[in-house]
Amino acid sequence: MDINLVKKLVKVLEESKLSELEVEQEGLKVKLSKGTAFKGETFAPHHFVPQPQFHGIELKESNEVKDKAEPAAQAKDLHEVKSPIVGSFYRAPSPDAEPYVRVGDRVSTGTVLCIVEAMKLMNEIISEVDGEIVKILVENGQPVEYNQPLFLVKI
Amino acid sequence: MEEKLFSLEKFDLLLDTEWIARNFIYLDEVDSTNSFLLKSKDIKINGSVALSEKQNEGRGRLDRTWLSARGLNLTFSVLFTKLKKIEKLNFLNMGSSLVVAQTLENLYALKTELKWPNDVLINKKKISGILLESVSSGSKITRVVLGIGINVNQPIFHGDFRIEPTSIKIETGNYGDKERILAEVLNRLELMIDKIDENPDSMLDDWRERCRMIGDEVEVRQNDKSKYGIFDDIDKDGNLLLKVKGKIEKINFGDISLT
Repeated sequence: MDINLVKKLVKVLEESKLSELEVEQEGLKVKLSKGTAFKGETFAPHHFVPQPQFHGIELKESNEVKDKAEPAAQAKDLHEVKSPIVGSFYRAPSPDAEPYVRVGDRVSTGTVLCIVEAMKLMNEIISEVDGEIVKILVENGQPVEYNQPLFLVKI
Repeated sequence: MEEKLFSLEKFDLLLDTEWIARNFIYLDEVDSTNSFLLKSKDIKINGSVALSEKQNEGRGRLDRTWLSARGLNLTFSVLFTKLKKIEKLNFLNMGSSLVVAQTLENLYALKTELKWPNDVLINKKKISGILLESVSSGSKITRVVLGIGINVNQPIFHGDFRIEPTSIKIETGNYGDKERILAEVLNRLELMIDKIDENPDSMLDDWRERCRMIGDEVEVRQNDKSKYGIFDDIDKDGNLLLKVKGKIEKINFGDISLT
């Protein structure tokens, strides 16, 4: 393996928020890790910028960091709106209407976010928090499961 | 066309409930009785009923229009504030259509048919539509409104309809008694709510008995897509079981029609 490639990988690891990097190329495997464990609190996977893909090299996020970071980050500033029922997800009251909310919209407690329909029960889901819609996780008209996350709201 | 406004005195004498419609709101005209009860947060009494002589924006599923001429039919909604279990709402939805069917059978000797999940048909035509709406915050249901429209005395319907409408007047040739129908629907509804708490299977059996599409080939329209199969049965939660190429698929929303 080219030593320059290893140097480059070290640089990639140093500059990234990854704690570990494992590379396999032509039968040779190199595993790099940072000396100190990364503190998960300030790291949120949703802020993660996708890393460029190297040919034949796989970047691997540390699962340990991810697992620790996710609940902490979500509890802190991201609120997940989940479906209370199994049904069909609608972003608007009717097929021709404007969506209730879009990414970037400010919502407050009581704002209608969507409808989930099950057997002609139209259940309006209202926001429990004040914040901003940062992600809509389900496409209009798609089936959703019980407790499936539908929106991410930044508090 | 005879327009006969609702008589509260007569209705009150026929009502035999403990809690449903003990708070009764009579509206001459409103956008929709469901919207009215959903929006009026100051109305908090469980079982409150709003009835309107005319709805300007009567709604069905996905904002489809429910048309009803002033003073001729019944359009009303019931507010529930103590139904906390969302899984029970499917039973309320189907149980309500059963209650309307039983009332029309009892008062007018009409042979009714139920269309999944909650339409009431007579001779394949729609006499009653139901729209159940709820509001939830997190896993909690905060408000449930059951809207029911029954075509009583409208002698003719103009326009294009997904399912052709009919009324008691059309089916029997006589004027229906709105106060009597409403009182009986609500009396039966109160009993039905106890029943679905204690024994939902028995309600589903009664519902199944009136669903004449079971065993037929049907189309299930879900948004822009259609599924075709045999309407095999309903399951213990009220979902439609569709048999497609020998495999059973569970359907929990959509419009069904015979193919």
